[in-house]
Amino acid sequence: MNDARLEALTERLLRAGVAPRHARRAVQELRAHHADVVAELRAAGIPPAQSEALAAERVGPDEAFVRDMLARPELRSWASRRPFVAFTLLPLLAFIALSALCVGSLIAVLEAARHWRAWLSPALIEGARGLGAALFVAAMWLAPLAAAAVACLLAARQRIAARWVIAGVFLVGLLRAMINGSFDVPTSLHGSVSMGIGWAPHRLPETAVRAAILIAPVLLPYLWWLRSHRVLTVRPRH
Amino acid sequence: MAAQTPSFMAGVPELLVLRLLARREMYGYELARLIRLVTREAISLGENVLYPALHSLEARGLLHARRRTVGGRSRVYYGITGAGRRRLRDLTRQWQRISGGVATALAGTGP
Repeated sequence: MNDARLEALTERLLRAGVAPRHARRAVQELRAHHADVVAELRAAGIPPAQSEALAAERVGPDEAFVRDMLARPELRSWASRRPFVAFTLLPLLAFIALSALCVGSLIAVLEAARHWRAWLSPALIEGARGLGAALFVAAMWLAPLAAAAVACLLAARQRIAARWVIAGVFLVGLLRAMINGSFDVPTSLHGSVSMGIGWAPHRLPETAVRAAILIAPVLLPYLWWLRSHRVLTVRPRH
Repeated sequence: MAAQTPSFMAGVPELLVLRLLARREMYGYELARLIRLVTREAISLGENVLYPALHSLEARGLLHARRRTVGGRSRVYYGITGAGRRRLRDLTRQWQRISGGVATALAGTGP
C-alpha cells in the first residue's frame, strides 16, 4: 500500500466527516495489517508479487473499508455533525470567554498589587502594572486572534466546509472591531481600565480597518491552505 | 474460500471480536488471524472491515485501545471494557437462544 493511496483514503474519510483520530489511526492500522499479511505469505514461501496480490485480495478493496467506516455514525466527529455550532458560534463564545478571563485576571492582578503595595518593591509594582497592560492587550487582540486561529486549524484538520469557519472568523472580527477599550493605569496604580461595545456610522472606516487587521492574518493563511489542498468544495452528502 | 456472511449473521462479528478480546488484548492482524482460525474460515470477515468494527466498538465504550511497541513495531492493542463484558454476556445469551432454536428446528423435534 503506497503513501498516495493511504493519503487518499484518509482524505476521503476526513471529508466525509469521520473524526480525525479514527480516520488516521484506522488507515495506519490497515497499512500495518497489509504489511503483516504480505510478511506472512512471504514467510510461507510465496513469491513477492504473488504475496502482494494475495494480500490485497485478503485485506479487501478500499471501497468496502470506506463504506463500512461511513456506515457507523459513532465514528463521525461531533464538529462535522454540527459545523455551525462548532465553527461559527463556538469561536465567538471562545473569544468572549477568553477576553473575560483576561479582564478578570487583569483586575485581580491590579487589585492585589494595590492592596499589598505597602509591602511591594517599586519593581514589583511596575511588574504588576506591566502584567495588567499585557492582559489588556491579550483581551483585546490575542483572545480574538486565538479563537479565530484555533477554529481555522481545527476546521482544516477535520476538512470542514469552509463557509462555517469563514463566517465564524468574520463574526469574531466584527465583534472585536466594535469593542473599544483603554488601559490607563500609572505606577500609582490609581487609574482606569475601560471596555465597551458599540458602533456608530461615522466610525465605519475605523471599525472596518480594525476588523480587517484581525481577520486577515487568520483567514489569509487558511484560504491559502484550502487552495493548496483543493478543499474549496462543498462536502458531498452521505 | 469461505462463503460471504449473510445478513442474518449481523452481530456475529461483534460477538466474535468481544469473545476473543475477552481472553486477552490483541491487535487487528492478530485478531483477524484468530477469527479465521477459531471459525475454521466458516465466517468470512473482510479483513479491512475489521477496523471499522473495532473503532465502532471503541467509540461505543465496549473496547479500549492503546498503542504499544512490540518487537520495534508500534501496534494498537484492543482490550475489552466492563461495558464490553456486559454486552458480550447479552450477545452470547441471544446467540445461544437463536442457535438453540435453529438446532431444534433442524432436528425436527419441535411441535
